[in-house]
Amino acid sequence: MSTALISRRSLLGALASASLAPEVLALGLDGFSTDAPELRPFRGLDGQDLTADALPIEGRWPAELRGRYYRNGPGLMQRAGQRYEHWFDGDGLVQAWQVEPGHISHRARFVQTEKFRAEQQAGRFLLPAFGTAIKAERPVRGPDSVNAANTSVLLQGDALYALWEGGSAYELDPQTLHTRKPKIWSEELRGMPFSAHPKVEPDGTVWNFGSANGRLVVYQLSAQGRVLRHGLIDTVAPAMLHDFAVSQRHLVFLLAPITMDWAAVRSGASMLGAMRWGTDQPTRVLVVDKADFSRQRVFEMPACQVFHFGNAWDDGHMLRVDYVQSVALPDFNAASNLVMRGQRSTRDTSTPRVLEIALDTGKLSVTARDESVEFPVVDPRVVAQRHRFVWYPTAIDTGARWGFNGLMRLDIDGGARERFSFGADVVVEEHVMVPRPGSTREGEGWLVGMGYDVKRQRSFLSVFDAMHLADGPLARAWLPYWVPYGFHGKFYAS
Amino acid sequence: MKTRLLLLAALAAPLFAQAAELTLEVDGLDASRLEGSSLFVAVYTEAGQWMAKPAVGKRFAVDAKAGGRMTVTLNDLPEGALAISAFHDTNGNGKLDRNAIGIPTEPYGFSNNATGQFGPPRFEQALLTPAGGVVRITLN
Repeated sequence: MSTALISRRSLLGALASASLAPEVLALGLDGFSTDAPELRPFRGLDGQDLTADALPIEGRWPAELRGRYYRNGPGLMQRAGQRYEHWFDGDGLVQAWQVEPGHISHRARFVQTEKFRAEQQAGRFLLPAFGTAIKAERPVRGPDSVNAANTSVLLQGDALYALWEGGSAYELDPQTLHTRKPKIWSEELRGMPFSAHPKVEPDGTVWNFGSANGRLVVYQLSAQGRVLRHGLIDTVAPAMLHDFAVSQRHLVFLLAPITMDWAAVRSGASMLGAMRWGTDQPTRVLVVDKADFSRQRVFEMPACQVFHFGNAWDDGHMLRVDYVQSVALPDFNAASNLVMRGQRSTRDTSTPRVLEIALDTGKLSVTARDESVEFPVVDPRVVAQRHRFVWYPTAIDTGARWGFNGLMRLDIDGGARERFSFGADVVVEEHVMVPRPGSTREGEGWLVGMGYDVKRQRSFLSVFDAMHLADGPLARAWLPYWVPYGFHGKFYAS
Repeated sequence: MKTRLLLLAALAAPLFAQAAELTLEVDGLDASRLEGSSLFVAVYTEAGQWMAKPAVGKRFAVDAKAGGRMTVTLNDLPEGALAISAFHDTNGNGKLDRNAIGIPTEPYGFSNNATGQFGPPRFEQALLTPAGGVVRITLN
């Protein structure tokens, strides 16, 4: 942490002084120098664990809100002066916030993947990353050879899974975050991709998918983590597929026109760098019957890139899906490359959409909004059911600055919104919806998530009344350090 | 008469049959799947036959008590440079199993511990002339 916190001024001071620690020199030469203070957490950590207990709490933390909030995200961005070029590349850092009445503690540990352990020992990168071309010095036998386990989490029984997009889930101890091993759901599913966006229905049923090499596999798991069904879907999957949505009767995929240029990979491009965007090709809307994976329908819409869905529901005739539309992949990658070098980008604005599919006629209609948002969440009680509210981090009057600074609740029925802004000096990350114990109505509960205070250079945990965002946070718990920006989390009430 | 013929054959062998022998030390077998498993070894001498038509192919029963490594002897090999592929047939079904997206699910490896990127290495990468009659391969 100490090297990562060194400012440019203190770096200059160190350079002027007689003793120059090698890591200080490396910091100055690593291609990350920034005048954008909100990008500081992209520096990443050096592979060390973090822990802090009895955190100062500002405001009144709701007494009924207790449990564990897990998050995952890319935590290590550079080794031996070499920086990753894409936000998706960093090694998975799993955080656990233990929330008890009047007492909040924090712990963060790197997932000890095969890749992380080898590179930690060598002190340098040994394997290609998703968005950075690095010559392999270890065998690449399949996706798990380069699995970064850095995208999301899922808790089932005594197993916490660190999820990635293209490979196995990594099993961790939910108490200590100690890494056990890659999860083998069944012998025939050994090494299969298990995406970072499983959907958990209110009864505990888990739906997920995996895609690689143009193949698409779907899984149905019991609440206890047993694979009930899995099946290969008869379609050509795009080179990148991040998320999907589940309704009462269907699994819904938006298959963007992304193909892999294997010749470019063989001549040294990264996987992401070798992906080609087919502007003149449609995005295919694939609707798979949950009861029979061989029953599927495909619709087409103009090319669009989607990372995240809120939810889906259907009444047998009409299927409604809400999601966040990103910019097309080349612009998204360019923006990600910039922030990894400490440079601002405003090219990657993503905005809310609601897609309605008339299943009888095949007619599609899309409602678009223009708020800058990402990381949509819904009330966990409405997953695959009719829903009304979606919550997002949002950017409100941020000007040239990078990142979100507020939160938004959208009523997708009527289009009304409620927002809160932290102002210029806070970066807001994903906030998840946690139902209030004993409540039944959608939206009754809290919104919990992390943020980074640019001036104080500290990360925090904030809690809002999910139906009264505009009132501001009910409470915040402050860390004595900052944590690299993460992707996704889940709150498990105790 | 029979003895004399055998003796003659034994004397002639190094001159005419070009038979060589080497010791193959393999580690990286999946220690959790040793029971009833086999080690498959294939030796190639021609680039055009790489991963298609081995000059010599052998199956060895794995001793479940031996942990993740084993040493086997390959006899009657052609003289000179060769390339070896090997895999741990963990369920003894006689083939390298793959999952539904085509990724091998059993440990495999090549001489020189050659590695390919998302596929087998090229023949030339795995080609070696056994020094001291011992070759080591790590499966993973």
